Amino acid sequence: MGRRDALRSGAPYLIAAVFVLLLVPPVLTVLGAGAFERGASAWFEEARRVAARAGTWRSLRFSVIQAAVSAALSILIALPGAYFLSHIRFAGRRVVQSVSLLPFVLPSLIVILAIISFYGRNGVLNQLLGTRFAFVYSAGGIILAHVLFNISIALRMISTAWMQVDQRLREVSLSLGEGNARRVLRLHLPLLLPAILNAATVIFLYCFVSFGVVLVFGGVRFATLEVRIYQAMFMNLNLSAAGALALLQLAVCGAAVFAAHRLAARRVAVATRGRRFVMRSGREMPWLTAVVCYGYWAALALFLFAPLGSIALRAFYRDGSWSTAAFRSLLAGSIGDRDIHQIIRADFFELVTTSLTIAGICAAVTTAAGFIAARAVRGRKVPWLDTLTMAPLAISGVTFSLGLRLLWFGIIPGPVLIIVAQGVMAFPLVFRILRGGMEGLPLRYTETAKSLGAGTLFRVRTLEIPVLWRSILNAYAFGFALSLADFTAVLTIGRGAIVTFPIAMYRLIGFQSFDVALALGVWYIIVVAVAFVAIDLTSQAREQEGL
Amino acid sequence: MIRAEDLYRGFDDFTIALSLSVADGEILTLLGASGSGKTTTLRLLAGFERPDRGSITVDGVEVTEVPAQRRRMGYVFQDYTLFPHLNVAENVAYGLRVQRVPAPERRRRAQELLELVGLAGFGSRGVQTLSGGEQQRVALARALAVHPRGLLLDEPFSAVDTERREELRRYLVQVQRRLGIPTVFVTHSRGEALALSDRIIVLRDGRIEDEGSPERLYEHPQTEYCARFLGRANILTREQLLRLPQTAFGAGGRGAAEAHRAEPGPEASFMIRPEHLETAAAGLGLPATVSYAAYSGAHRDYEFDTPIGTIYLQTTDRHELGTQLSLRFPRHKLVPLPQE
Repeated sequence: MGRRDALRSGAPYLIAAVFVLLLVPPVLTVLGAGAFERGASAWFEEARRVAARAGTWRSLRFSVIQAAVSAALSILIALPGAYFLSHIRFAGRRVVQSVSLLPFVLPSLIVILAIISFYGRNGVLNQLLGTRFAFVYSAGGIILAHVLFNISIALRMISTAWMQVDQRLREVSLSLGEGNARRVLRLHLPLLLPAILNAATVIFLYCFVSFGVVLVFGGVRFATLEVRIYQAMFMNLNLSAAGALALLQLAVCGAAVFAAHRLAARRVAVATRGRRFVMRSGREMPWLTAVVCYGYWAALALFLFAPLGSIALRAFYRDGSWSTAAFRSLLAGSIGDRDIHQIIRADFFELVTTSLTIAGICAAVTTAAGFIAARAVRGRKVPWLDTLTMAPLAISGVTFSLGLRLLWFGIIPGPVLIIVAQGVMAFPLVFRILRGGMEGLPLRYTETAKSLGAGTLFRVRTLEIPVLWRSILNAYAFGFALSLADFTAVLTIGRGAIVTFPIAMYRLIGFQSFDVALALGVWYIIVVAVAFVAIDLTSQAREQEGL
Repeated sequence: MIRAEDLYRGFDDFTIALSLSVADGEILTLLGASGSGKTTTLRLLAGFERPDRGSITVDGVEVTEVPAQRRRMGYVFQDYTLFPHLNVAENVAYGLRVQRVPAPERRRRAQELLELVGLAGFGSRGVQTLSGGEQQRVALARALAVHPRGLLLDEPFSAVDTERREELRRYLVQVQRRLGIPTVFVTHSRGEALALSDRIIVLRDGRIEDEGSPERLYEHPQTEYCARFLGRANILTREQLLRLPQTAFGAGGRGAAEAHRAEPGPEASFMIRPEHLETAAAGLGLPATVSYAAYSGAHRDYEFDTPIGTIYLQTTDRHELGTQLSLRFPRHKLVPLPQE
């Protein structure tokens, strides 16, 4: 075996080793911190006490149920949308594709504010209906927020898989006289099951370890394991209990990933690349389909964006009249007679610069790492590596960030640690996007370039990056948005010294300056929306070029 | 010259074991059924696959361990594989960019090659705007731009419309003859192989079944497999031949039968191509009844029921289904096949 062959066959193991080295020590540090502090027997004693507490199992049950219901609802709501996105080139399809991603990349604080301001007791919806209906501070609120967050994931993952179904299979089914509904049930859904399971697992994991939403809407009554870990760690200062709970959480996540992986492995994945899926033009839609299609998107837009719109509304509506005072406060650097610097510990421009710099670097590093990893395993089936790279979804952000801080603070600068934490958390998604793109690049291109004398770096520069530009931009955008939205790592590692958008919002809320917090939220939404629309328009241009 | 000696590559259920050589200016065709190892052999020559054993030399220089990007073998894929982000001229000049040829020189050379393949003026066009045949000509120009030491063509015409294929073949032969590059051409189409090649290697299960000029392989195949693979063939066993009436050998008559009796090996068989059979009035040869007839434009294909089994005939004459006539087997067209 030559050196190149050895390197190639060892690549998945090398990637796994780097990944495990990045991920495991911080988690172990937190899990074992209690044992370090008070000895192993005290740790086990505490773990036994945690296991004996009925609350622990109640939280576990609630964590599983809310995550499962959120995942199931997200998938169910997204399925018709995924069908329309993958089958019909309806007017506004591009806009729907890019804008529907927005909630996913928003900081949880914005979504929380949005839900309260729209669905809350004094929210826009109750004011419109003249009711005082309240359900936000309950399991319903948690599930609503989670569905709102994750519906775009389901839409994207399922519609992408749907578009890869071999067109010939559809044509065979048509020639056998199968109607649309039967075809979807008998042909498409079974073929899409691995993608559906994949999306469901990702959403389940996001919801299972979700923190902010559960803390605000669930309180003590609807505490998940993540909230209990936080309480044990920061409120009760009981590291052993936090470690034991984190271990339990990790075990459930691991079991979920394993089960999904086994289930998906039993199914035949979507038969791809036979012939590209042919989308119908929107003009060819029968009127009933058009009504259902546009009706669906209108309802979804209302569901997703009415809460976000209410943020903008409230940011401009102050003391019973329309005003831009909140925005002016941000730019002027003062709220009333208080200097904004005293409240958020940074001025607006510093805040923007810090946020964009950290997110920019984090996205670049994560995208580069994802690209290298995807390239190294290109054309190979390594399901265990695909599963392993999903691990950060299953690990609590609080646990991982705290572990990084305990291990490296003082040795490695805080901003670097934040970038590492955010990068690791964003890696599963970034890697998935790039792996998909890389697998779509025919090996023949590489071989042709090789036969023309192109070495590795030349191929990367002149062939792989230009052809995969769309996936790279997409991966970068996700890395950027997830970093920009991150609250946990910046708070846990930065401990107040580093101020990004979510931290500033958190402080403004703490200062009871809701309107300025909302104004900041509007700025945030504008930045992310512009970035995503720009990227999707670039993608569209490149799709027309056949890339 | 490209030479591969004792090349061996093992897979789970398949092995390649062969030697071959291609002289400068020669077109060697690797012909075989799907899974016979043609493309793998080509990939071994290109350096995309490594052999387990054996050596590959180009112009006398050992390249077995040289990676594909340093071998300078022009490779053209079946489905063109033009880089979608580059225009026609940029695709042609890609290899020159690798060699850091200055931009004006690249442009000049790309233009020259596009003229060579009949696509002058197409340089600034996007590759998606070209037809299949045009795309394949761009792929050929791109492979030629780097002055390759060998040209490897993997079924280059199979994705092209039938009417464009002929034209593309002509371009390929013209260009190849002009540049004198040793060329290995892979196909499963015997028509293409016969029309294009200086020499053909018939592959079967990773081994060379037969090798020679197109005429030699078609007229005098060495094996029954080869006889059947290169075209329709009537294969007669010695026993069937002896059952033929004397009149079936035409003018040579009895003498021919005697001569065949003298052939060694009881299982040896004989081949005769359908177009070499002759027809005669009933009673003047092997009695035969038309059981199938198909019109193919330039000729007609027939199947006959005869006392020795089904016999194929190709002729320009018209016969109705059920017609009874006689078939004759000219002695000099009967090719003995060695025992397999």
